[in-house]
Amino acid sequence: MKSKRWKILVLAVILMTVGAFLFLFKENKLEPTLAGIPFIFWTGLLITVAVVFATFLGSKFFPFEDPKKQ
Amino acid sequence: MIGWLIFFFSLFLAMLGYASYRSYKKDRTSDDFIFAGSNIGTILGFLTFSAALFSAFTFMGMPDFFRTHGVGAWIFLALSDALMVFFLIWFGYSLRKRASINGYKGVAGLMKSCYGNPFAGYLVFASAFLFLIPYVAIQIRGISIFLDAAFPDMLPYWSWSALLVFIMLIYSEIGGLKAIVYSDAIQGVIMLTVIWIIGVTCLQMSGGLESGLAKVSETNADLLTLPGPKGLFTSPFLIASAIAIVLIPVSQPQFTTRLVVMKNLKSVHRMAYAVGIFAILVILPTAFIGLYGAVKYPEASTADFLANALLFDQAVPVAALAVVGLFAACLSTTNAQIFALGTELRSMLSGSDKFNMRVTKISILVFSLIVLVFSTYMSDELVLLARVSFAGTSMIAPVVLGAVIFKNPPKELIWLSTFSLVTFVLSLVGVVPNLIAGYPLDFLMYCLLFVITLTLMLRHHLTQKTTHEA
Repeated sequence: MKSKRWKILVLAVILMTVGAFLFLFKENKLEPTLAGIPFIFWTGLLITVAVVFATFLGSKFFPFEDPKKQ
Repeated sequence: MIGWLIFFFSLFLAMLGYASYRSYKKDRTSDDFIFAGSNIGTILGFLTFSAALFSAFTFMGMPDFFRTHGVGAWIFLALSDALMVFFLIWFGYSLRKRASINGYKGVAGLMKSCYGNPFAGYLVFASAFLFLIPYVAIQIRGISIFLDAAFPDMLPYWSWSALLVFIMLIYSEIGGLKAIVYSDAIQGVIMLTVIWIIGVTCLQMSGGLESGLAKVSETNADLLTLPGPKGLFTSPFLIASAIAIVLIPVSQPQFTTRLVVMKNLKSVHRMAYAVGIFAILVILPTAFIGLYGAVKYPEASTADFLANALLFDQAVPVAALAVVGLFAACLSTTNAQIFALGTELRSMLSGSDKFNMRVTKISILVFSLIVLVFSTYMSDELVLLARVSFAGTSMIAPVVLGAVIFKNPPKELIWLSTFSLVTFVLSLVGVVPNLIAGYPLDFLMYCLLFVITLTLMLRHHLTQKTTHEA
């Protein structure tokens, strides 16, 4: 179960990153702004937070034990 | 100002002295000295990793990067760092697994043992030496520019660099990695506190976020979009930067070693997301300082902008704390890198423990002197020089990843990494062009390396499987 969750999480992060570079981070795109913050900055911040949260989830779902203990 | 400066510096030096005292053990082995007993917990681990990662380049370079190239700087560093910490979850595990099987004395030594070829070790050491020396020199150069601009007649320019290297040498030679880890923890806390105080002050002086952004929109709207006013943040540049930064723990030994010496895998994983949170918290205020710079000092030189924004426009105690914070940021990265070079050299040695320890200590001194001399020849483009260092070291990633993934890694990876490293160095000296068909060379090399490395690894995996089955 843990292994499946981990694989889904890795896939989600890869898709989110590729998707962001392909569809979000476009040149000369200023709108839509969020409370005056330009599009690139708030979407960049949002994706960064999402990846860090995925890292937190990854620390819970990672399926293998510490090899140094084995 | 001088009074506050003396007060904060004395406090900082007293803490460093205490860290060295706590770390010193009379009868320690070279393993104790180099690996701090391999018992670093989550909090110390995350602070030492963060302090080694975020340096003068973040503290001074990023505000200037936001000011001159705009909001794309967030994707350039913060998103790349977030991807790097996610990658740490798997890489930390795989590296510790390999280290527990083959033993670990340093990345160069591990490569030598995994490939059964000393050249693999020399390659890793050469890459670290070639690109960490300039990176350390950047840090020292950065702090010297700042202090020289802030106190023009106080000390000769070179003496600021010498003072920093002298302090670093004293506590790292006394306490080894443990002293460095403790001092990194102190420096990480100071850096985060100072950058937020200055960031919030700068945001207030810009008239708040919305008002500041509106002013920038009127004067230089290109700062609010990609690729920025100078066209730097193109997609190939951002993608290549992200790859170079994600590969930092693979190719820069000061980070690789930190992953191995942590107490257990749980600590590594907790450390990973804590570093991600730290990255957001440290980079966000640099955007505020950059915004202030874009509003108030759009045409100023880097040194003038930093001296004004970080010192002269701040309250006196904050300015004094900023000097100490910058010094701390610079010190933590410098010591991590120079110590790592010593560790890598030691991992290639085969003499007695006493002999190895002596050689390691002498090598740390020699590397420090090389860095000191080199720092006087560096340019002021801190962030771009740091990026060259990240990209340069990442060229050896195939060889390290191969060793981490496979028990008997394919030898072709050594030649692939050697070819990449030589090509990258040749591009720096102008023999190979930096741009090919409009794309940066490092971006094209990453595409090529990805395909070739994957093909070699898949072929090796299938061959091994067939051999086992037969």
